[in-house]
Amino acid sequence: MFIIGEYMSNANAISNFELMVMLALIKLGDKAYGVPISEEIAEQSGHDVALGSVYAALERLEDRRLVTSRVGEPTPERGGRAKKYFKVTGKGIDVVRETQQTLTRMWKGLKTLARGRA
Amino acid sequence: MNSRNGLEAPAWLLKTFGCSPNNEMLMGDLAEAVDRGKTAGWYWKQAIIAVVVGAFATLKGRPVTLLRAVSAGWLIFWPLGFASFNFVYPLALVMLGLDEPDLLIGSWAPPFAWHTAPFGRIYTFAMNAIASGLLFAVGIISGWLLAVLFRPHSRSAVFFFSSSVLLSWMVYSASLGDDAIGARLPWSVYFWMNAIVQTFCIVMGGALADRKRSTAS
Repeated sequence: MFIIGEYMSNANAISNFELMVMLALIKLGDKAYGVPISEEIAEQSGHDVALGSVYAALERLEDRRLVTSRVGEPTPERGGRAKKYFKVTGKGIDVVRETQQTLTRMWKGLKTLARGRA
Repeated sequence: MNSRNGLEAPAWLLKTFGCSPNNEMLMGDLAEAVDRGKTAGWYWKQAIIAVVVGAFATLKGRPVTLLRAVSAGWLIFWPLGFASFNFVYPLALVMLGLDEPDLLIGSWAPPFAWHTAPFGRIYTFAMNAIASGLLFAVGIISGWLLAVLFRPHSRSAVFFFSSSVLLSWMVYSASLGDDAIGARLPWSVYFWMNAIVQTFCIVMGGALADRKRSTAS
């Protein structure tokens, strides 16, 4: 039972950066493609984000069916290239919720961090 | 002035070596970001990161395929290099009269140039130019064959194989003693020129195979 539980949590595990990408997708809704996703993460984290890393994370999440995508129309300002819009799936939402709950539970046990003394 | 001027090189780098299945969309995003005011330096940084991240993402997803690709690359590259320098190179020297300097002098150099220092330099240059040409040809053929054999992962296959070749040049360089010819100027410059250009030829061979494929499709 313990092994199954551990296996399940590993299967749902996402990295910190993948979580940030998924949260950006949820916030941006239908307008989530490369540029606004990276801008949202950069704005919230205070660090410039490499678009290559954003796409690598999106590809991993799409492989795990936590994210879906659709290709938009090509536009001249993008050199005739299309945008690719991403959306979090129901399974992805579950994983985000599970991650939030796990982190919140763990956070509650760290009183020194909560008081800003760590 | 168009804000995209001067970005042809990083755009070409990304278009040629980008391994991500979303490469086209990523290039569109970069073009859009530049239109919004991002600098050429930012574009270069993004293009290089995208190439490296894309290659390593493929490695993480398909480590066995890429291990096979690097092994296959060496199985092509090593015999080709061996044959070139043991058969083609001596044959080229014979055909051009470079195997016997006196014969060369007698065949096309004017008598006043015989046994002079400048002629010696020309002779040395000609031999090394042929050797470099063979090295570069071996690089292009290896890259081309590897890209053909490892579709659809040709870009990452060529990326890792060419990196392993450059690494082997570095290991070879480190193994040379300080008194070795290749470790001293001007030969050290010739050595690194060969190493870097041959690595570039491998990736160009891969790019040629990709271009031929996309033209055909």
